[in-house]
Amino acid sequence: MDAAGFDDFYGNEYERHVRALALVTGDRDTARDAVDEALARAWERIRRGVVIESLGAWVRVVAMNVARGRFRQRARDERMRARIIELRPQFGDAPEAVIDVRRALATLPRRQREITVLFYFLDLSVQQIADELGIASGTVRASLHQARQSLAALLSDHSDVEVR
Amino acid sequence: MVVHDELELDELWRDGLRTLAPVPVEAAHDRVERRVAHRRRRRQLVAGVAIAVIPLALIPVLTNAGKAHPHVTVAAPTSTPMPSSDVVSGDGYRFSEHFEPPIKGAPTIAVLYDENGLHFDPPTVAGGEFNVSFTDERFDYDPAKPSTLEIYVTGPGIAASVRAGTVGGVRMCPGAVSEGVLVRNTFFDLGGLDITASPECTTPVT
Repeated sequence: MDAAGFDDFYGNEYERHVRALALVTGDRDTARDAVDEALARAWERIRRGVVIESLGAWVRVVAMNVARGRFRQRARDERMRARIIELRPQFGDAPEAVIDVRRALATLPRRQREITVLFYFLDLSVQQIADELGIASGTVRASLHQARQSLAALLSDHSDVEVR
Repeated sequence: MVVHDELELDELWRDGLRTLAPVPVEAAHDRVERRVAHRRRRRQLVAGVAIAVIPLALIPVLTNAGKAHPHVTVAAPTSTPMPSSDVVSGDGYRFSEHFEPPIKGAPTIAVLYDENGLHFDPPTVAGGEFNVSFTDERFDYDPAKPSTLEIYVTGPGIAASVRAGTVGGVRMCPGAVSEGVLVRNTFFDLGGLDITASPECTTPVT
């Protein structure tokens, strides 16, 4: 990893990672700040000769920890949820399903929310998520199952729905 | 009856998150470079400030010599100072924690712990009562195993403990002997805080 690797990250990965973290925290500024901080720490390490094999994975883990630290303990998740429920679609009006996704996202505990965003938004595999978060792949699958159930339950609130 | 299968729910999640994810509005590169420069200046500032710290190797001597540190327990007393590295590793030494609630109206010292060590803001204070806010931002920090900032001071002989993510009240006068972050009673990092004389500190420094 060198300066060129950083340029690649800025060009191809930065926006995606800020957006992903904004989905976890519910706040774009917190997400941007956390990713910037992670990049700054990565740059310092690289200048000291530390090898970072995957800048994206490193930034994801560090940025999530930094973002977590921005909110204090018990109030942390409640504040994140409140912000998530305020997220607005980037373009145009939100279809009903998008509103349900937003509500489902806000109902998930923080760890499940992180897993959901890493899987559905950043397209990481179950194994990649397990490796990065240091958890069992079964835990990742269980969290994704919970995410599906949460969304299905919300869909069923306003239609006669059954999950197959 | 509408039936949703997993693939359909997966697609709804993907579409929904893509629609909702806020787009950053500014270029990142310059901002990150400014942040790197800021972090460098902050480290230089901390390193440049005189640290009112008696070497850690003296802790066993001080604690054995009398009752100046009622909250410090030495598990393996010795009259011979250990090398600093041994003290830092925590071998044979255990320090009891001493938590106090925040002090109303007291100024705050923000202590940040990251991969570059401990950072005190402000790094120099006149002796008195403070609320110490401690934040652990190491990339591998596990909130399930909270780290604890320990500040040992001579004079009134107070050991202050502040768990990561909390604020604790403490009275500090000149003569801090050490400070560090403990995880499971193991010293593994140190920082610098300079406490200067003030009218609030009338107890002679020992």
